[in-house]
Amino acid sequence: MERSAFAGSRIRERRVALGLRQAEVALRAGISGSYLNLIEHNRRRIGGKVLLNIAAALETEPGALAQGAEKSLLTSLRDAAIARPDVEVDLSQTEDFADRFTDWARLISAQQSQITALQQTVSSLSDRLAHDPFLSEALHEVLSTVSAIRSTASILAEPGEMDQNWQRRFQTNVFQDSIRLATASQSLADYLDGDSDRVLDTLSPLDELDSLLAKNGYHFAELEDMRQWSAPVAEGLLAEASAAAKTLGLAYFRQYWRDAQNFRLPKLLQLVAEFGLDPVRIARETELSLPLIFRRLASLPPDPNRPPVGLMICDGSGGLLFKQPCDDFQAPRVGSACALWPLYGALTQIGVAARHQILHSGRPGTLGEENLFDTFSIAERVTSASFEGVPVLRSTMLILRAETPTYNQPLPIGSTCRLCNIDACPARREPSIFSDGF
Amino acid sequence: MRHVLLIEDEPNIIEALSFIFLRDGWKVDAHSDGANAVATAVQTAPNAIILDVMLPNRSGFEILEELRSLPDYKDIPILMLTARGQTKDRDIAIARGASQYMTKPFSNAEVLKTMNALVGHAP
Repeated sequence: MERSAFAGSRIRERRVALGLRQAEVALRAGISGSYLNLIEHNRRRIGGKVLLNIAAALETEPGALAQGAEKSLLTSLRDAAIARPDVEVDLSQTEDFADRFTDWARLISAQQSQITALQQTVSSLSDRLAHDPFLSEALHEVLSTVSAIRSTASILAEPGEMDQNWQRRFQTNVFQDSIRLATASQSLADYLDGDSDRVLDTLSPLDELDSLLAKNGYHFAELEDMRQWSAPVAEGLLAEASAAAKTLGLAYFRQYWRDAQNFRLPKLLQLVAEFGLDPVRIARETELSLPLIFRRLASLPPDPNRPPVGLMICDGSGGLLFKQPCDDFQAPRVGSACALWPLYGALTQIGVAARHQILHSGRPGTLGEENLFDTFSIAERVTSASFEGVPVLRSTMLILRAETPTYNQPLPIGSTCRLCNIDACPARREPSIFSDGF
Repeated sequence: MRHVLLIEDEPNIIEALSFIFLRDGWKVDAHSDGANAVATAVQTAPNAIILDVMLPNRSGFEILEELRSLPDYKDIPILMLTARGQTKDRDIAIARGASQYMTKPFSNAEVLKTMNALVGHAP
């Protein structure tokens, strides 16, 4: 298989066009998310099995990625039609249209790719813009600096003579503001681009830990194999983390290791092979607690033949403590998640397990069937019962993609109000950008 | 005499706006902190104010609201000049009594024209 220098760009283009996240494609292809990120930025050349696996994950031919061929025009036109179910299109005419009006077909294909990429960017940015104090402040800094430059430069550009002292002063101001603007823009671009080396400085410790765990696919072989707890091993996994993220990370790894001791990986894999990702049957077989089983299922080693697993954990206030996504079912980066999540409902009945099938609102234009998930939730008290103080609660929700609708009425939910297009929701806290704009 | 108070934390914006207003025959005062902005307004007694929304220590919206509660300032022309261009921010500004709302980056000529119109000065 020929090694291509620019396969990464085509892989990224195809992934974005399909509306897939890096983590999902990486999992399907059997590689880590960080490796895929390097590939997509053309910092690693690939070929052979890796290219084959990525092509399979992206439902395309390896040649389309490796040889610089344009992505399938027909597939792209069909994607465009599916994205707009309100516009009736006879899909049987797709090939004929592409043959007769090839340039127009390519235009539609390019626009569809752009729309998909923009929708993802809008979703991501809007979530951040509404709730991310760093982003809000960074944008304000950029706009204020641009204003200062524009105002000063327009004075300098006026015809006629100007007092030399003022002129020198204004020239210095423009120079200083241009440096500020360059710094602020770079900082903003890095933040939005997700450059982990610099962005990690600006993330909260929880976000930073999420990012590190996601890069490792939420599975840590070092901790699975560890018979006795070793803080240096755990600290080694957090070498790049800030001090605050390290504190959180060590607590997380300690819990991970305890879980691995109580439910060893070989036994877990054996039961998953026998029962699938069914926490109920696994619980019956092992008599282990559901939260433990949920956490172990979410920490399974990546397997392209196994569906993705998500896990959300919150405390009694509803604050999210852990956010492992399952495909499009993700927690908002900042701000509160959808109040209808079964994760929160579980807090009203401590110790009572609940199972729901949910329809996640996802992005506009996606098919409903693709957003069906099964969730398993339970809340527990994590401190001992006492007559003093307030009990500390924790709710855990396992998320699995549902293959077929099981229940008549799946529960419609979103990720967060701002990015949800469900109308007339009794739990809506704020307008959606999709219905009400910015 | 036309007299404007610039409540803005960007020193170079203050400098540029001061230049164009002085050149146009205005008297100019400036204040860069949200905390004492109302006191400065009362002390300098301008007949027009340019007010930024995002200021250190106190938001421009709060300052606007307090100014409008003072009898001598309930009708003074106030132009809100800000980087926040969302519709809801404009609506908040107008609801709390801003005479006009302009987003950054702005045109010097537009700002000057708007302020002259607000104080009823013919071009």
